[in-house]
Amino acid sequence: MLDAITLGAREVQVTPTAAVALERLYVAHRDAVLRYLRAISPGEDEAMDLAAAVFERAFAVVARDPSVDLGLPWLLRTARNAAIDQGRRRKVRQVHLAGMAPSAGFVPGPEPGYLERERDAALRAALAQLPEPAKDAIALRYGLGLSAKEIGPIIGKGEAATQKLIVRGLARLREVLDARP
Amino acid sequence: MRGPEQPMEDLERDLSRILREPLTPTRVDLLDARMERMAAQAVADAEAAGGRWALPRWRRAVSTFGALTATVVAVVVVVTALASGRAEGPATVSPSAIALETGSAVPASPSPIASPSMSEEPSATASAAPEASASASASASASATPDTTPDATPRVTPKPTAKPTPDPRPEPTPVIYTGSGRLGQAVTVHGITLTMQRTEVPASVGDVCAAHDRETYAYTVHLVWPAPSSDFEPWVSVGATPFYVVWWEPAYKVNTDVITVVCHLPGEGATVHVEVADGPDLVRWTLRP
Repeated sequence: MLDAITLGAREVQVTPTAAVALERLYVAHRDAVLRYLRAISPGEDEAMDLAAAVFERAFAVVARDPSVDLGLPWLLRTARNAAIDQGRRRKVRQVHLAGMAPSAGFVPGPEPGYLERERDAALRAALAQLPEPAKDAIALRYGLGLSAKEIGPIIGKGEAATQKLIVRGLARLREVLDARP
Repeated sequence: MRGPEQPMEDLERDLSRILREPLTPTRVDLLDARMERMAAQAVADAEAAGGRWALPRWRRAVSTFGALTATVVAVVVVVTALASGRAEGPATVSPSAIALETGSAVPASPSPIASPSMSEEPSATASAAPEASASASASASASATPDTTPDATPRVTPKPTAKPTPDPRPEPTPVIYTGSGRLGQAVTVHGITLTMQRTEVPASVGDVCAAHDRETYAYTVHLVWPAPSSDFEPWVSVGATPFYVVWWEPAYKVNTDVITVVCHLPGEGATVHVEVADGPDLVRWTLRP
């Protein structure tokens, strides 16, 4: 009976640690996960939903064992898988609808900065049309500042292959932007 | 004076700026609130899982002890009743001896009422011990009662993450080698020979592009590449909109025939564009029907 009491006390002591671990995980990585998901999702709303799903999965793991250190790569891999699952649900397989990415905050008009906003909108649209691996690599590289070595394990490629994806993606973006009227 | 690397640097700078734009605060606030609830739920679920495991042991132990005590009490009551009913009879069995045999230190009493009150003592003592231990710690009582509502986790206040340091080196501008020809012809560019031919869409693939208002085109692809620098699938497109490969049948390989299935926007023409990466450089073919 005393063993049971001791066991019970040990179990409950996990609770505050789990809460702290969850908060630490969320606070440390929220922006990175959101930025990545926003870059590879059709819109910010979908990115928010995917981020919620990613952290829900992470919370379930950490609440069971607060000593687990999931880290950013785990979250980004989970985010990528969640985005791929979401894409499959939409029955889209490497088929990107032209102009899929909304130009957030884009308001056409003659005011200063119009050309820059127009270029940004074109760049977002071009990015949305890239094949998934290249889009992932570019989002992680320029959105989160990760190196090719860090990106590789997240997208399941080697460092050299990741570097090549980035170079090809950039070349494609540049061509699309240069070709616009 | 803009060098050849300048446009690529501009593109990288624009990408960094766009992809790091601040998130919409109201949406982030909503997400924070949602995550706060999820965290509380995750903690509660973990507690409940722990509680479900620990509680039966408590109950099992208590009920086992209670059953033993009840048995002892019943035996004492029966024996006492028998003894009092046959007070004058031959004492073949001594009630006090039976009581002692069962482990009770209480002397046998001729009164049937006294026995139950005495036998309750060990039970009360047994239940008091765990309660006292549990109340010594607030968390222990939460464990013993899994239905207890867990304390809300403190409100999550996100702090801005440190700005990531971008790689200062710009990506090299790739050299692009191009060539053109017709479908069915072998066209060699930069030492790599490509032969493509329109073919039937494999039945196993089906009309995969119809759902996206596109036509499904299939081609046999044969790349003769003596020293391929990567096993990346080529990017293939038909018409003006680039790179809509959806399938390889079987898996892509150089120096062999494979079938690729491509989605094609109606009215865009049937010119095929193919691209492979050769080291840092790109090799492109344009093939017309």
